[in-house]
Amino acid sequence: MIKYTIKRLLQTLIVLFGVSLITFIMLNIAPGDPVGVMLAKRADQETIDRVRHEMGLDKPYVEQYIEFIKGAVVGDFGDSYFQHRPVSEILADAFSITASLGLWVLLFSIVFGILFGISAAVLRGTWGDKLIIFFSTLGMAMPSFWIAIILQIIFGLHLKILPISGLYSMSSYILPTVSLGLIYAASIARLCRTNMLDALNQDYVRTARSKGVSEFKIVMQHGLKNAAIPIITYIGILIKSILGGSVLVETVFAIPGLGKTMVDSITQRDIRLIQGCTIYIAVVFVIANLIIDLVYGLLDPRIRVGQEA
Amino acid sequence: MRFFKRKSDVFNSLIEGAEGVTYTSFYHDAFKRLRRDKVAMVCLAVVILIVVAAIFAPLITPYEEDYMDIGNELSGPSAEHWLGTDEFGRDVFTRIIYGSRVSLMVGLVAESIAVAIGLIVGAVAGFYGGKVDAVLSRIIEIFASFPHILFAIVVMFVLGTGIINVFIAVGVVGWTGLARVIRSQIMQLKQKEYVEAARASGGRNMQIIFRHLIPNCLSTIIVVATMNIPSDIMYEASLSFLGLGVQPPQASWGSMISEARKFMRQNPGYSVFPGVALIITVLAFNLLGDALRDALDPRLKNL
Amino acid sequence: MGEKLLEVKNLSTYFYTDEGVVYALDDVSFDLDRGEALGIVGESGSGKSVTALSIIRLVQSPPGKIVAGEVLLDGDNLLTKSKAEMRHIRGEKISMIFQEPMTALNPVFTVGHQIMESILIHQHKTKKEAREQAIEMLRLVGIPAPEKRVDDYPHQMSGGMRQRVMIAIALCCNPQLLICDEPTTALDVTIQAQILELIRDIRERLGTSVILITHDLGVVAQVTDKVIIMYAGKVMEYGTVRQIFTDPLHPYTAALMRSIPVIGKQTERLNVIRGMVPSLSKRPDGCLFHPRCDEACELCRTVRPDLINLPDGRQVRCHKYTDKWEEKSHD
Repeated sequence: MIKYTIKRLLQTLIVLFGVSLITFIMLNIAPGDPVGVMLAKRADQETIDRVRHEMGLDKPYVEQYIEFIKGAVVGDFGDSYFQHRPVSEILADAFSITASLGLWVLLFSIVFGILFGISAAVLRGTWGDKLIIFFSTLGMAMPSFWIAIILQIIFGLHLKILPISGLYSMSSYILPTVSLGLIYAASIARLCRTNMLDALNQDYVRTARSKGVSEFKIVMQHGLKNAAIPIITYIGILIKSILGGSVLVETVFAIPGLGKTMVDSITQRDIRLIQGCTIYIAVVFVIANLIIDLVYGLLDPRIRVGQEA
Repeated sequence: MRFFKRKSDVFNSLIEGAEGVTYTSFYHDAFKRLRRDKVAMVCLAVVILIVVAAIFAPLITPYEEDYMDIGNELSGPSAEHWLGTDEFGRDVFTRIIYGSRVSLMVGLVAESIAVAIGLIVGAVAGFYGGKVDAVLSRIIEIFASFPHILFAIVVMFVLGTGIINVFIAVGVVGWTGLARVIRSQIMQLKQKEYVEAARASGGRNMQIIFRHLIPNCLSTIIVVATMNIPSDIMYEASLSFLGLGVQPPQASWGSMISEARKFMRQNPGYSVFPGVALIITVLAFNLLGDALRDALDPRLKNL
Repeated sequence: MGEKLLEVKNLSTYFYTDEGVVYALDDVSFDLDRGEALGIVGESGSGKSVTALSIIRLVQSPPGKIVAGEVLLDGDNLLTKSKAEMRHIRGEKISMIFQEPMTALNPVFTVGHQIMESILIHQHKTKKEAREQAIEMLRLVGIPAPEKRVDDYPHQMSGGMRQRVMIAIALCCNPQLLICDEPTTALDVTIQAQILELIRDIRERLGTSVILITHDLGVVAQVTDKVIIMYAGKVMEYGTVRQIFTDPLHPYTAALMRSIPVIGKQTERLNVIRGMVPSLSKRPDGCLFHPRCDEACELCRTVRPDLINLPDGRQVRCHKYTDKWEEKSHD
């Protein structure tokens, strides 16, 4: 296990290095001059040169990259040009907001996804099953930002029972959570149904029945524990998707999380902030995946730790 | 004598065992299975309908793409404007039909870019193995380790807005899945006899990859590409919704929803209908992709 | 011996599939005394596994359905029991072990957990007592160092060991009947012999009745007293092991006997029974075996034979042993 953990850590470091390199190349080297882009037509050449010098952008790329990495390792991404605050500070604030929303979304989608997934598997072939399949298939095809707007129209404008922007009270979490979580609940439901049916068709379920185990226990213990393994793996992908989806939902609900910060930084062309955001999100995702991988090893005894599939 | 009789018995038994088995080509067979799938056929019909609508948009739509019915802005559904009008008095139905052009183009062009990158990276990694594979696999992992939409946003920032750049952004972020599948398939295929034979007869590596290996991955490529199209369409809609994709006055479902959001009090239908169009399209492609996968390559189920 | 434990009467199980009704089990009757061991032999698709699953009512439904008959355990009809009552019978009175020890154990639970599960359902015991009993059971089935092995996961054990664990699970509540469905098919030959030895030993020590289902006549010879030969969902022949082996009556049984290779005997080639088991949804007219039977005549092609009771307690389903056949051959 220790060997495996170290190996995964090393891989993670390589991936993070790659992400930083690609981000750096895209934002600093690829076409055009970042400061020119950033200040657009708002400044003359002299100003541009001055800002370039201030930001250290007139140094050779290699030197710039090394400094960028040096900073990134200790969490220093420089200052935001427009907010005049350290990027790391802005990101930490934004992250705590996105994280709290993300956790609700995660909880919502796992609870409802598993609930409906198990129900569908148990009801297989019946109308209940077909109804769940229908709605989960539909749910997976719905854009979160559209659901968000529909929910705003229904609950905010017509029923006037839920706040439609910001993130100030518990009730203001409801709409963003549902609009982002619906899609993931739908995909977990489908995943759970498939894996549950698969597990329930296995020989060991027949063995359990032959022992006199009740159907409820067969589903909740023998079935779910086996079906949980692919679901856990999916949660890794889910975290990535939630980070991505937060961009849209945070924009609709005006929530100052990571996603909205990213979009704002892009519209403002705030290079340092974009760079920080990108790395930050990658780090969050990669670490989440690392944790999932390690948990996965604990959950499924068949996985021989230390050797890759 | 007896020996021969017995032998013929064995033959008979073999023939009896094979009774009723007819041999058909793989694609013929898959197509037959697909034709029996009602859901798939309905989805195919929907997709064809959308494609036809997109191509013949000027003939179908009651108005020009940017005709403004001045004095009739933000109206609800009516006989004149089936799905109402937008803030400039433009017909929402007309703009949704035109918007399908953007979505389908993204599905087609962006996915082609993704397939090209994924195919080359996957095939090279799988074929050469060793250090080449290790490096390429890391690169795949790096690209996959980032939420696609955020990556696309950064690419759009670097390239600037516009539909061509949307193609590039969506294509550049969406190739990793295919690359992984192709890599593992090529790894299996290159062990096969006919590859050995091609190599023995002096085939060059590139020749082997393109003549022998990639054609054998064709069904996988079709399935993965079809299954990726709905998410490509979704990425475009998201980018345009954020104002980073297709720019007005060109109609795109994402940018329409984004505009409509400002007027959800006055004309809620304006927000609803482009989303419905998006859902129908994505749903049709999703289900079609599932059916294609079941018919052509059920092993991909675990993706 | 002599006291009846299990009586199966006219049991029929059909599967209702898209391709039509599959007569997996058609009017099967037999009985089993306390402490007795019965072999059920047949090719795949002969209905032998469905017999076992029908007895403990674990036939997949849909598409399967027990359509007729009675299964009497101690005179009590199992087919009229409620689901909850059946759960108390399974694992407690009737236990079953399956063909695939690789997949029959749940990979995410320790073997100890899986033995304890059965104990905790059927007996009033604490977890600690159940665990001790589980270790005891592992020792009984011959697993070395059971105190350690009890915490192993199935993947940490070999196929033979897993089958021993399956037997431990099956025996932990001291059932009256143990049904073994191809218990050794997936195992190496040497392990096969050990497992069969274990089953025979348990039967002698605990007095458990055993139904052994297999396609391998050799396996039956080692363990059981009586044998049922099944073909296409019907009983073809019934008799003691000695009777069947020394004097097979049914042409199918005879063909099965011939297909066992005898070591040391030079033959040109292995004897195979020509043709294949008929599709159970499109059964031939007349005797179900006639398309593959060397002795088939017009009668066999048109009239379905009944199971005939012979004076020595044997049963056979073949026109050869009826008066009609006599008439036929005198023509």
